Amino acid sequence: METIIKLTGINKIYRTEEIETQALENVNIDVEKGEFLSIMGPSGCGKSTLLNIMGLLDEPTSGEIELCGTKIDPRLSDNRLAEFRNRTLGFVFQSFHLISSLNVLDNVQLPLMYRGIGYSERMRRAKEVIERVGLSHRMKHTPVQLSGGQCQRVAIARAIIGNPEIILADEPTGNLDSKMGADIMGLLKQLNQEDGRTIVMVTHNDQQAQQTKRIIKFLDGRQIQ
Amino acid sequence: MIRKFLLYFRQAFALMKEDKQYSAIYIAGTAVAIASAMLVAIILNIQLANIYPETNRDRTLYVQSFFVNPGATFARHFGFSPEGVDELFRKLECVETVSVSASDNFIYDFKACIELGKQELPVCVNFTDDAFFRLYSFRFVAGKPFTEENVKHGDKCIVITDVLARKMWGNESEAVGKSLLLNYLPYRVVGVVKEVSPLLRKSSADVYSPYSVKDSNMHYIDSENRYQGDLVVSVLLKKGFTRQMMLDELEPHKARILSELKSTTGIDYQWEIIARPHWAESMIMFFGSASDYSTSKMLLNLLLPVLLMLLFLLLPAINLSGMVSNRMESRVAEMGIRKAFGAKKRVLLGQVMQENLVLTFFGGIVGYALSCGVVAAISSNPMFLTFFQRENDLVDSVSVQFDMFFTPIMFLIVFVCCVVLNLMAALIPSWTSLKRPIVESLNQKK
Repeated sequence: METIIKLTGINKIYRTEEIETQALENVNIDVEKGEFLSIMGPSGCGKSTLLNIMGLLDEPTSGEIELCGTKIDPRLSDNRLAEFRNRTLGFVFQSFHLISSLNVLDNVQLPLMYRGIGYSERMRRAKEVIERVGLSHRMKHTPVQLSGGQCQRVAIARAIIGNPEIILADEPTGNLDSKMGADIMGLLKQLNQEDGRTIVMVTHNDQQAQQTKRIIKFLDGRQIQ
Repeated sequence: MIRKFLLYFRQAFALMKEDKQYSAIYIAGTAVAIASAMLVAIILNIQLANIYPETNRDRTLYVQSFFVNPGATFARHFGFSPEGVDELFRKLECVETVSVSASDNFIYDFKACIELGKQELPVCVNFTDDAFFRLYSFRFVAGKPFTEENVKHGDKCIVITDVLARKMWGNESEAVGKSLLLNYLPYRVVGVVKEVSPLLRKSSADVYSPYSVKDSNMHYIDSENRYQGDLVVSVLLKKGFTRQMMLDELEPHKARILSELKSTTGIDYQWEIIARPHWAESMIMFFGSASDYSTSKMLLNLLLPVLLMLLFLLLPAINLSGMVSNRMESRVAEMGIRKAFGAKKRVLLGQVMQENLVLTFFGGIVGYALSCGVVAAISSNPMFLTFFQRENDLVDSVSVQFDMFFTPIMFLIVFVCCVVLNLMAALIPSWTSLKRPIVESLNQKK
């Protein structure tokens, strides 16, 4: 199988004037294409930090990152990183991170706008993915007019609209009740199974983690299983 | 591109609705800044732009004459006699129209009434010639201008403004053919023009009369020098001709006249002819009596008011930038989201600036309207009249015209002011905010 995410010797140290905190210590992970992986561990163990590093949202203190066969040079400019994120990665956050002043359609088409895709094509694809997450009737609504589950569906639509190879989900059901959480989990599984997308999900929920193909456990910044 | 701008526009509206208090204060702050800057722009526009009826200001020269006798003392008067005008200007190739007016001393202190015993109104009279109505593009509401023949014969026929006509006879068309008493002497009304604002010093008056109705000897100041007089000359250059070309063309005529004067009077005069373009005549309070009237000099003279405008924009911009900074603080998470999904910093900066520009435009429109209102309200104030060299005149009430405020160039200036203010107020706080790391931005509480 093809390795799509390869993290080698990743360390992350947060330094202030008084204190130094090691958030990640020598993390080595390989994720294969089409895999659905969950990362578990108690709060503060470095799960989200790892996901941020994997998603090129944060830089490791040391170590190497390879995504989709491309080694990420730490000297890469912000612009190149932005382009890479736009084409390769999709994010789903615990608190949805939708833009409150934009409606569903505009929120979803955001990644395509930054890719320079024309308006009509953006609209066509946005409508397609919104339909896929079952929110066709909510296209003109703003996030405050939606339930938590609907917001997360919008976030998933936004994550997949650019057809990225990898979806990184940081506790996607953390702010949802169990029924809505199950719905979202079902949607992610569908994306993995039907589209063959690689999904890395950080979760506290053991039951949901069990539904993924592989679980990696973390404790105090170290990979323990 | 347009769609993207529309999206930013839509979001700007959504943000306005989201934080109405911020938007209102920002628009008010912008309005004050733009109004201050536009006050300067409106004054300059009235002074310099081609506005009714002075629609050829860019080709108009105002000419004065200074004779110096051998004792090197300047003559008291700076005008031309009718003969001087004929000899010097009428035959010039580069000149489209030459008009003369009696110097300002004769203009004021006239009373007008329909008949003795009826209500008298103080009026401003401009003693001029028929060419005056070709030099300036007056709109005739009724009748027509007086003719060259009228001027030649010193006919007491006048052109009056529509406002005066309405005051006297109720409507404009009634006035033509009627007699108006000016200082108790009857003058026949031959035409009615649309009123000109008193802020346009060169062309405004209540009554226009042939200068020749006065004793013709009054236009000759010096019994020895018959070229010296009280007439002020205004010249409309043909298109493509310059001030220097006219001065060069005047030279041989000038030499001939000086030589003739020497032979008839025995006095070896020196003669300086000053031809000021309209902009120099209008900006004399900034410009002084310098003799360089090149375009570069004009632009240099415009620097002072432009710097003043920038200062008016800069001071509120400092306050507004504090507001933008706070606003950006509340949008840090949004910027983080956008960056996570591939937005580049400069794209986001462009977006934030465009969104802010929408607010600035609203403020700009309010400010523009405010500045127009302020000018209209203070137009009769003596301090304001200083800008138009009318502070010492008996200007009773000052009317304003549409084209003093609303022209394409004024809209362009408002736009430029908005863009400059937007840059000064929003660029630094936006850029500072966008420099934050993505993770820090995403973790920011909304």
